[in-house]
Amino acid sequence: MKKSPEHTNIYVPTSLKELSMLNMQFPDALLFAGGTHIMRSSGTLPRYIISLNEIKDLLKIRRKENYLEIGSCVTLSRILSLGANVVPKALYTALSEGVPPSIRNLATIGGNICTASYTSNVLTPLVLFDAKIEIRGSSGIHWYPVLRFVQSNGKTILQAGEVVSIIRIPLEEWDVQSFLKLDVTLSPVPSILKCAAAVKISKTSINDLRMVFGGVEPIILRNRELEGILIGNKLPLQSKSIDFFCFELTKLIESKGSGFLPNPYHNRTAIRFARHFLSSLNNTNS
Amino acid sequence: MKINFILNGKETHIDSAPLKSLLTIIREDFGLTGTKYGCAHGECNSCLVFVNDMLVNSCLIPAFRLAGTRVTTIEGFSQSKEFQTIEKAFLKINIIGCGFCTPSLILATEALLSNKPHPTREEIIESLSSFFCLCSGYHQVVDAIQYITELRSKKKSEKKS
Amino acid sequence: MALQEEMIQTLKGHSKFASDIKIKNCYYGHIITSPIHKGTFSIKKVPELPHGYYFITSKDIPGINKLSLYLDNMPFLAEKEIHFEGEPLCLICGPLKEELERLAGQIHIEYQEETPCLSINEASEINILQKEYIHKGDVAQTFMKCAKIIENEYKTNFEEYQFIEPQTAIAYWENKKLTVYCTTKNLFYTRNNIAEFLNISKNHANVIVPDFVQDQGEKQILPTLIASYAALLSYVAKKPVTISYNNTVKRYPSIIRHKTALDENHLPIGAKIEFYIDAGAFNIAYPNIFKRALFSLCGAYELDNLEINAYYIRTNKIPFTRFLNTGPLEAFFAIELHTSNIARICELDPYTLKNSLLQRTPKKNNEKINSTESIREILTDVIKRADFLRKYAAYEAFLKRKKQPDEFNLPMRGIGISLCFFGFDFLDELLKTTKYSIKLSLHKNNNLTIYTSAVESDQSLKQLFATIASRLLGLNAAKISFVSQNTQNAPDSGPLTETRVITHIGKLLEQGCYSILAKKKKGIFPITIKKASSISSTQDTKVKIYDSTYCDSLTWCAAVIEIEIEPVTLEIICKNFWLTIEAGTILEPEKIRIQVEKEILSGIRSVSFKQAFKDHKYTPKQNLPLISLNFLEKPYKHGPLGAKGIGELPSLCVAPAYVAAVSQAIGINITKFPLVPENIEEYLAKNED
Repeated sequence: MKKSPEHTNIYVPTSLKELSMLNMQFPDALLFAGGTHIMRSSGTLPRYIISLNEIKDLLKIRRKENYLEIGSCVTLSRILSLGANVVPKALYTALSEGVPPSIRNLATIGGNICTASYTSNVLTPLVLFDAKIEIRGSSGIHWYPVLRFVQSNGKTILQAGEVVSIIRIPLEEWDVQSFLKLDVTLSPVPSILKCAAAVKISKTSINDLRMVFGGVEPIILRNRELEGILIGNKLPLQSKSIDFFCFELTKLIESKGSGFLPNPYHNRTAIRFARHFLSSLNNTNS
Repeated sequence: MKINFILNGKETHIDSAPLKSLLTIIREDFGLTGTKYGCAHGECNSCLVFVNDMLVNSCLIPAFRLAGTRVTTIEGFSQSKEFQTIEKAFLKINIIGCGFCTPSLILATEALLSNKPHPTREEIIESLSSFFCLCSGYHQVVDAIQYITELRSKKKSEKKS
Repeated sequence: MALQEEMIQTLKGHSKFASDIKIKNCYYGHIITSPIHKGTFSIKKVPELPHGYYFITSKDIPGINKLSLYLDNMPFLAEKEIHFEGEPLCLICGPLKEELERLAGQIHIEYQEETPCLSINEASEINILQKEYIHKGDVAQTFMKCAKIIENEYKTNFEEYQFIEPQTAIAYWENKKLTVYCTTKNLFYTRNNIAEFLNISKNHANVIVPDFVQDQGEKQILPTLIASYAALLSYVAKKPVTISYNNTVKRYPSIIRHKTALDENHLPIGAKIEFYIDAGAFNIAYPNIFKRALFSLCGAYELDNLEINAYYIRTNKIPFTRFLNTGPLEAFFAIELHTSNIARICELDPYTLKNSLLQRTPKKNNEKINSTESIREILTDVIKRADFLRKYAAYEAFLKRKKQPDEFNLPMRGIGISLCFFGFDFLDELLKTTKYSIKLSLHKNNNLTIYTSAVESDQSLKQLFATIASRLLGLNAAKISFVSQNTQNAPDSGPLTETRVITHIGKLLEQGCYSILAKKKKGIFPITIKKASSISSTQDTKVKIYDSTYCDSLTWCAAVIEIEIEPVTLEIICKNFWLTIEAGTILEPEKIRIQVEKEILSGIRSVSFKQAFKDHKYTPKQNLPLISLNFLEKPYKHGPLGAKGIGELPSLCVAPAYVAAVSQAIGINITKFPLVPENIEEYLAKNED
């Protein structure tokens, strides 16, 4: 449980402008969204806490033709309530898998991203869909790809006084999507695996292929060269093409070091996932 | 910090440390022990309550977030009409066990049925899957929930006619 | 309170667990425990305590510093020697919890650490707490003349599960009389030990179990310890004291080596069994893990030539809060899996092999033969319903066709079978000769009160007793009330263990009801009847090891499990589960189904190594197996209305059938559990090499 200092000051701004002023005044304040991470962790809290839950602009969801914009304080359950027809399938699965309904009612998408924990389900599918994040701070408003925003386990590029305001997810027509998450079982070292994949098929050829893996350190692995191996290939994919892809993926994972997927089982499951996903495309009628 | 909120339908105010958990407030300040202190970590799901009709883990809600909210614990929910069908079903199918997670199970049942009045078996299992219940079997709980949907449908059609 | 009213109060959130009980001006107690496994300690410095704070060591104990165990003694508070990590050393109490933790951190204790024994493999002669050698026939000759020998070492690995409800005790004194709330499963054991610990009369100590207690594992030693501490601290501080302690229920690793001699027809004709089980630092009183394991080593099978060497090993680990099925679970895992493995190696089906090994020697007493027939019946029934023979052959054939484990991208499938029994209370020395009692009181308005400590806060046992009484006396079961949770008001009916409570205490209940019926005719109310006896007077307690089929009080279960291994994650999904149970007359089939499912899920958790809270999640993907349950009802003459208790029986069947099914799915004979996907991967990788 968290220990709080003798006097904890809680501020509850109701607008982005108010938030901006508070951020300038207390740049080291803890930003409190859902609080699921903060209330679980041990250690001492800072003296100033800014609750983001009353800021309407952070609670909006906008659906445009080509993208979905979600305020950073929107809860996971609110996103799920949009339905599987609106939320991309891999993200939809990630939001519901392994997270009980009661936690989904509290946890926010922004909190998930900013915590940048290797246990978060949300990062992998957001990177898969090339999602971007809007950051507001004293230097203005900037957009970053999620992959660039998250630097390492628990670390983001967010500076003191800045806040994540919007997450923008491109909406595209994917023919097949998949998401898998595996926790650690026997390993004494923290280990986790998340796999997300999506493919577009056009006239029996692979038009676009994306595959993202989540581990411990680095948190996210995505390689466009790897994805490019099979783009343009005709279906059904030949087994030697799949073998080659898996071979390159193995090399890629190894190049990240043992810190990425410390558990060899997770390592091999990532390869099996890729193989299974690609093999299953041969059964797809496009 | 002075906080005003509604607890089980009654207007309430407390003077609390801003980060004191709702679970501690419910149990210690109000003596409502139906909400159980389990892991206090958001994992065991024995501390569920409704806040603004949303099912949440009370161990993860700090006091400062309660301002202006409506909190319903099992003691409050047990006074409602919706509770009656749940009580009937749980007694009929005999879902009690030791009783530790039963209050949370009841609130989770209501949360599920509020969103999905006719859930499939898989949806029921998914919503219950995070419960740390070592006493009862899952199939009976699923049966009980399906029985509740029948009871509620029957009541609805009786009302219409 | 009548039974149904209790249930309604639970649903409404009014059920009070130990941690829900609030007493005014209550102090908190804190236990300082050893961080080392073995050695000695001395308290060097205690900080100056503020007013209202007290520090207690073993020297402050007014009575005897020994918790009575079976063939062993454990100190309440260590005096100088440390036997296990987490052993209580001293206590501190006061009004503020946070202050207690701060003060505890300032107590300076010096430790002299010694080399501990932390596993069976590290043990030597001095660690042998108990050993047993059993010999039958001519084993040496058999092994010399046999056609084939199959041997394997079976291992069960460490498991630990957390209770959600913390162990809590609250104690207060009033007019020199002690009241203690705690979560013990043996009220009088706890009371008697507290009385000796504090050097007070038993009549001055009242132990109360709250209305509701989370039910998991052995709950006798730890609740007694905590209750004793709370009582002592309350005595010293002259205030009510509450102590909470988060604990887990554990299973320690065991090793079982089976060496079996086969004849030309691949049938076992002789066996050598070596068995090692970990006692922890002390031999806990109940259940008698070692004896129960010994009794189960051969399972249901008879061999003319048999040699058993069994060892109960003392290690420097926490001895208490063990699973109640510890002992039999390990033994059945080994024998059932071994017979399944023999079948696979010899290309027989496991059902045929197991069936042929069932008790073959005809006995003069026809009743004894009937037991074997019942066992064959349940085995045959489960085979039929599961379509086991066809599926087993089909999965074997499919396995032989596949060149690579994940060829065809299909899930791997397997089916396994096991046969187990349960109901070992007659083996426990403490229970055999002790007289336990029950009291019934019928009032003019037909309200019945049952007085027994054996059901305590256990709703399902109360319901069963109410069912028995209501059937015999023609009453409404929902209106029957119990006095069960208080040593002052309830008679000593022994520990809360289901099988014994149902057969022994249930039988006393039945006898009591008949006595009430006889007295009812006179029309004088209230009618109060007390019945008392020891277990040996109602149950057959003279049985030998490997004579299990002659023991009528046992309940039997045959189980078949069908599993599937998901090709990407290698997760094991339990698809279907069939069981046939013989447990005498089944008085409440629907309630038994709930209990059976609970035990099956417990068995699946054990075998698939689900530890922390989050790991107990059953996703739709992972599946809760579809359970098909059938009963073979054969009234048991020593049980109430012919009933026997099932207890943890279904959980015993899971591991061997599950592992056998996984072995078939991947084509490798696995000899240990738990099994997790990483293990499957290791096995497959070795197979490829």
